[in-house]
Amino acid sequence: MARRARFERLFTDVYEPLQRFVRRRADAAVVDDVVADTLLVLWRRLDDVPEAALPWCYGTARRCLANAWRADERRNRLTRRVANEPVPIDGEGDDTDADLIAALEELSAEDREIVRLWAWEQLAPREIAVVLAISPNAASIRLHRAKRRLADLLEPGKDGASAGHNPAGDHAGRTEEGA
Amino acid sequence: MDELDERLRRSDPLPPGWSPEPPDGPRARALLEHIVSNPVIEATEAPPRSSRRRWWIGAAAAAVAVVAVVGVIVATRDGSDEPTVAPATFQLPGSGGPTMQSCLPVTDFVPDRSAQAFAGTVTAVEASTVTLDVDRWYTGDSDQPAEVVLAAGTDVPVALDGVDFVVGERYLVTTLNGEVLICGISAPATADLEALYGQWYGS
Repeated sequence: MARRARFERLFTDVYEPLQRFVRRRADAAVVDDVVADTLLVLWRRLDDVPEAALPWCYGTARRCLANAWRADERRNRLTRRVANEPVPIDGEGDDTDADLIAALEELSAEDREIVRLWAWEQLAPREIAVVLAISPNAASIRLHRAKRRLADLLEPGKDGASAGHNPAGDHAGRTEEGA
Repeated sequence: MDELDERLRRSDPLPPGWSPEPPDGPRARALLEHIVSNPVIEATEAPPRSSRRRWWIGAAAAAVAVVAVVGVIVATRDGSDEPTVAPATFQLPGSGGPTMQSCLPVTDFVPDRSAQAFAGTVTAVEASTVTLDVDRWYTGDSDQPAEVVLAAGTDVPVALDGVDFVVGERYLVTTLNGEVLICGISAPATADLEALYGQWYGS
């Protein structure tokens, strides 16, 4: 069956990166559930899924994560978190780049996610645009500005720093096809 | 790769030694088989939309004025770093709305792309409003309100299909153009209806 064959192919393509995406943003206990929810949406919405499915899956996973956090929030309102915010990861810490984390905290939640999608998921701006449902141009500009802001925060007075180059073409290691 | 790129990459929070399960592993294969056993949403299998659209247009025309205040993000900060999302308000249909006799079987319902759907528990029932604490939005992005108010017009009961809301009971609700859809589409949460919501909205 063509539908199943396509799903199996996409499942194989996205299964591992999707687990990484969720694990970077959630406790280990919820990874399986969020990945399963995301893949169930992939199956049910297969007709709407673009051939380059991974950014689409990341966008869907963000919604599933938000639902998981909302349920958690409802159970314990004392632990409310910003919906877009990754949770602390077990074991993270000893070699944490505290200055970088503090600088990231200065960005808006969505700009932080743009930087993370770029740095961790190795997405190109037009793929980030799919994840966040914004225009590719907006993704490119916001990534450029966010990196420049990070550079300024980390090294005040060092004009331009590392992020002052072409926002659309500054990813030598990233193809436009993604991670 | 420059210094900032390298620092960002090193900030990857994946725990050392953690690795994802491969897609050909036994758990992954079991998950795949479980997923493909679920029903799918295929536009080509949907009944002609024209008749449904007429039904919804009729429902909308018969309804009272629609007031929808949806997802307004209030930029206030209440001591935390968390944005507050104002409650959404939807209108309960008036008594002149579609009767049960005009209802399609709920299993035949095909949600409009602009429909909004959520699951929530009733926290308060007033004379003309009912308030729900939302635990799940089936539609929309992550910045959805955690509270929803359903408002009834003058001389309209605060009810679904003639049945009063019950504080503490959980409901599944679909709205279109700011109005709650009835005819069993919005109703107390049951396993069967929850399965339908999963099928309709996919998440």
